[in-house]
Amino acid sequence: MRIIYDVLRDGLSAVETAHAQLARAQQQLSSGKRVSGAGDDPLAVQNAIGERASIGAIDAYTKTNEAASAQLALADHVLNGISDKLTSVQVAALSARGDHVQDSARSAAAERIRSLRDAVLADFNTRYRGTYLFGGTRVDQAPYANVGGVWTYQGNSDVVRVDVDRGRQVSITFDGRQIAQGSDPTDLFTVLDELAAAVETGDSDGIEAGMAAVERAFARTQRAIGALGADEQSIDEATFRLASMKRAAETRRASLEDADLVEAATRMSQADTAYRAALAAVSTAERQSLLDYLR
Amino acid sequence: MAGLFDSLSIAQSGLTAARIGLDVTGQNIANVNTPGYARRVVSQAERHPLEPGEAGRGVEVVEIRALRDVYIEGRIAREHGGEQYDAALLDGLETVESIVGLPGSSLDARITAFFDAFSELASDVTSMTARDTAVRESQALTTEFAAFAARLAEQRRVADHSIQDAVAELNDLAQSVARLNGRLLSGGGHDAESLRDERAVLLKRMAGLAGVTVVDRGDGAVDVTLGSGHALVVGANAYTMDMAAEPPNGFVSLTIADHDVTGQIGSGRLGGLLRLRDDLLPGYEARLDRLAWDLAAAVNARHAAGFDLDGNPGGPFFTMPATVEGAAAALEVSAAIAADPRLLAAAGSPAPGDNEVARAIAALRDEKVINGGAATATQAWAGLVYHVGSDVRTAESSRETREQIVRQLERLRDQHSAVSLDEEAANLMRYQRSYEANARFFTAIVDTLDILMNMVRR
Repeated sequence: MRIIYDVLRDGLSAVETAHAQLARAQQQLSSGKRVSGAGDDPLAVQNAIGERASIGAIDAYTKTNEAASAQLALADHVLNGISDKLTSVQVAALSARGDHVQDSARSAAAERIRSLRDAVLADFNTRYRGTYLFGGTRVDQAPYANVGGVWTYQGNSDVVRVDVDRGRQVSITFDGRQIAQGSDPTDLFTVLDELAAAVETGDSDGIEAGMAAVERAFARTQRAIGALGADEQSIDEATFRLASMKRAAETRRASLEDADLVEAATRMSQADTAYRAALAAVSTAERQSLLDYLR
Repeated sequence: MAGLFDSLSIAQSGLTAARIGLDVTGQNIANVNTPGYARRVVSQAERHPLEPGEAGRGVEVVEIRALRDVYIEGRIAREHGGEQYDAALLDGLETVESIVGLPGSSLDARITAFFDAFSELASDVTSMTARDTAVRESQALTTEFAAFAARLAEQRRVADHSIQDAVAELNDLAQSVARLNGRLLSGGGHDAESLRDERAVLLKRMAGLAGVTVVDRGDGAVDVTLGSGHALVVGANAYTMDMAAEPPNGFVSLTIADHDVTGQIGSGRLGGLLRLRDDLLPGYEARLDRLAWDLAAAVNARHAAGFDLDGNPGGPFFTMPATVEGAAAALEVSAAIAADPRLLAAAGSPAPGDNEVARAIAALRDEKVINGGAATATQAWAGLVYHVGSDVRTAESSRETREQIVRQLERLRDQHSAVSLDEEAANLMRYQRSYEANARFFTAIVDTLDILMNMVRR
């Protein structure tokens, strides 16, 4: 049987194969990536795109959570402030109750109540990043204003919700009227105005009615604080869950995309040996010829 | 009865045969690296004696043959066509592979950034910065769609130019084969084997270009046909493959004698290029167009139900073309919204703080709105990348297999036809020794004649 050794076809082919393996191992080591193109491992690349999309979604939710958390923390602070102020109103009204209270003391108490009303008004009209927190979705104008001598709610009953996780939303604005008025016939500011007037004139029935209305407003505020606290906890839970999901997704992504450097280094060493062996084989085979022995 | 002069004739025939043997050996050695060269061997035969009692009349060279295995040559040509088909396909696909890029650095990153922007907008819906970011990320997405579509279209144009070059080369080769057929039909003269060597090289190139079938006519010529049966060469006649630019994109269609053969070339470089231009690349374009169209349609549907920052109803967010085809290239953010992000209808009601539409668009990230609800936008893109990668892998695997087959067939052919320098070195020595021996015999006869002549002189 005639055996023909073609250096170009047989020898260089082996050299090229070994060189390609060496280059691939080098590329993996230098880039740290297991794949250099979709053709290297189509399924891994497809899954890696999915994992990156998941990580992108997790990052987006996490960002939303950070913003929502800051906004809810402010709302929490404001609502607690309103609670404190309503308590102060109760104290001021109580101090003016009874026949023994002098006019000057009643005037001071009334003034204190009006001052607290303005502070509560400022609380209800709190803005965060240019939007009002207690106007529902009407975030462009102050929720409460005195329009022609009448306290008017300028917001609406909707709220702005954001997604803090898949299928989980929280409200980041609030229906101010739900807190300031609820099912009462008048809003908190009218109540405070009337209470201040009753304190000023020593109207016991008016003071009693005003204090009861303030008590109900206090209860509504506490309920709002409770609901807000639940939302804040929901955000914390979502943030924790998202962080855990991101770690898992990053691990999966890395296993799909990143090179195992120890394995790559070993493969490179093997490929280097194979490359040198192929070169040596070609060189040796090329040197052997009967012509050398016929001189 | 034969005399001494007849002995000289025997010596002369031996010298001639040895010299021809040396020449053939030299020719083989000289052509050891010539593509298509089949090694030559000398066929010698004894010159029989004319009368009883004679030893014989020496030796004669009957013929100088080229050792070819037509069956293996045919198989090599067929497999070479397949190998070139895969190589052409792989060349184009590897470019597409680089176009689709790697996860996180391609269209998937733009899709994620697009949804991220709407997610941020939902958190701060009245912020002009957030609105501006949403518009800019949307423009970046449409730009990426258009760039990707343009690169695919460019690949199709490149394939079309390569097809034109391949057809021109195929026609030239067909002319050359027909010309060689003509010379072989008229006998071929003394260089018939050289002509066959030359033709074998041309036929292999033709097979590499279009996977042709070669039929030996038995009269020295061969006919060459495409896989579909359309003739390119019949005897000494060549038939031109014609090209005509076709609307809408001006890509060429191929005809032979007015028969459209564009879809009938399934092998060779031409077959691979046609598959790339007319099947794979349009398939990727269609998937990209579908992704762009469905995503834009889903966004527009939500945007149209919303209200802008001034409480006015929203119009289309993306300006879409009339048909799905070409959507990736033509998709743009509405010029009015791009000029004034206040017009971005992020609200579900006229209240400016409402973020329902921004949330709904951000939620499209997880909604299966592509291909009639079959995939999310990212999944559709990942599916396209998977298809490209899978096609690359299939072509690579097929090419490697065919390379192995061709290499094995070439080894088989070489066992029969290739020049072995070791063998030629042995032949060189053999014919050299033969020449020396014949020359010695010639000298011996001349010496004998001298003895005879000296006897006569005395």
